[in-house]
Amino acid sequence: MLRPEHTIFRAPFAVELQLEDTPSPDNFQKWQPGFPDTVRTFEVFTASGDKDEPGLVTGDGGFEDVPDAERILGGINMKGPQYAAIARHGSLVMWGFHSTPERLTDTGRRLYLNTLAYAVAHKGALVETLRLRPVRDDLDRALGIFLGLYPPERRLGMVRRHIGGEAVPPELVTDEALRARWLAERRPFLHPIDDGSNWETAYQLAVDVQARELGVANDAPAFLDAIAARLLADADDALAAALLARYVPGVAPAALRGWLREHRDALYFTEAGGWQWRVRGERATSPRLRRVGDERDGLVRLDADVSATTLTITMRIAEGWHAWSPKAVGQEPVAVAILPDSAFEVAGDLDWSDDGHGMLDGYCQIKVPIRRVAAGDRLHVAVTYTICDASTCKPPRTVELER
Amino acid sequence: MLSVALVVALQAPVLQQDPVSHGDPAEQLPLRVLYAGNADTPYTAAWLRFLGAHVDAVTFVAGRDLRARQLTGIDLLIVDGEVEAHDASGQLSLKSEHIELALDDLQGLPVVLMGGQGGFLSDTLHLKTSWHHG
Repeated sequence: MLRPEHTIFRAPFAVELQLEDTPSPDNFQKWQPGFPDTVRTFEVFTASGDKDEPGLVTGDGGFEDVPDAERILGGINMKGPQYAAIARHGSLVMWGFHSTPERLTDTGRRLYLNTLAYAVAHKGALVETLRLRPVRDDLDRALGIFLGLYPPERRLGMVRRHIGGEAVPPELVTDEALRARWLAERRPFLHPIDDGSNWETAYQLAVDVQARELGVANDAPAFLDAIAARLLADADDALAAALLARYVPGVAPAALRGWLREHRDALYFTEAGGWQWRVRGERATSPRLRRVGDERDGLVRLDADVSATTLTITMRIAEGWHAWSPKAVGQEPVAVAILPDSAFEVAGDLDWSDDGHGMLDGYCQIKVPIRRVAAGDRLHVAVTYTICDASTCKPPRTVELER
Repeated sequence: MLSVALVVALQAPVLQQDPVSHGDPAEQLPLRVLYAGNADTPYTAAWLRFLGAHVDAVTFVAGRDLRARQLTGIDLLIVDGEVEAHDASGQLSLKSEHIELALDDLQGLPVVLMGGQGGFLSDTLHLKTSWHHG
């Protein structure tokens, strides 16, 4: 993956690419059948006699479905030939190579400096979509590339981990033509089976039966027009209202036609960003909450992420220390409160990853079901905990997180 | 030698031009850079020396201590650092600086995400450059 015409190879410093033919890694042909035996490369770092940390590449699936991101350069890696080591998302530029600077070649040094300049040139560029959900390409690769790499007895289970909502015929595993037909029939109407809060189903796609009933692919502009037409005929059309809420959250049925008139030329559909129709130029909303204040606890690191239905509190408790869930009798449990200035409230019982007897130690999570009670994304959370070791307990602390 | 250089790098909040050659002296970028990495490592010292030779000014902060208020007055944030750690028996584990910045802190700010620590932050923020998707 090399875009030699890209400005990052020209400015501000000319990068002379001394390209060589390097044997393609075996994995490239597994990832992309038919990939050539050699790949054009150039040296960024001189080879090291010492064992060095590996670099980093990131996958191309869904990367460029919205032009807030671009892949620029790949490299020899253990994944696929389209994976990127240099890539941009908004104003953030990834340099996936890893070594010390004295080993940069002249080419590598200029490319690195150009990478810094390229990031600066994108000051103000927004991250508009995130990588939150599986995409159709993921399913294509799972069934087209990875399935054959699994032992035969595990292939059906692998398919079922990617497709939910209906029985998967066992013949799909062995009959490639059937698999292609089966997938083609469903592809236009696929949608994640839930909001990703459940690890077991986070990567599953399923047919959205309501989208199929509408009869238009959910990523086609005609999909929105079909919803608008149904609402024009019947303002209380339940199918149209449900699809609108799912694919265009925040736009009321009565406002859809005006919203379409205003934004039609700037609309895009993002799978990775949440299987939604969005308007270009709007910044992404992060699932990660921000810590309020600068005070930190050296014994507990606390993070929070939110989906449409679940607030997940992650605690990393230092070795030798622990906290308690409500399951522990006579102990002061961790308390999670959603504060009143939030657009959400607690919607059910909390799920604790304790040891079965109420102890929380090491890496642990608290999952809080939530539901929306007001417009907007505001979420303000207070987590109060007491941690103890074998002999003593610290005074309780409260940490606030917000977005 | 490295440890002396590192002490200088960590104690001096702003490094100016480094006398050590790191390539063509004409390769200069008029940038004020904040480098967020691992504290007290030869790797960090090497990158600070290199950057000091190519940009107007480079300031260091340990990734775990990086806060949003430190992002003012800079042209570029670099997130970097080693990620591998080995215990006494040689067992490999990954170490993250656990940078706490939120996406809104970084929207529109020029940032270079280097290697695994850049990947960790990408994962946290669900950026397309994430390690999780690598």
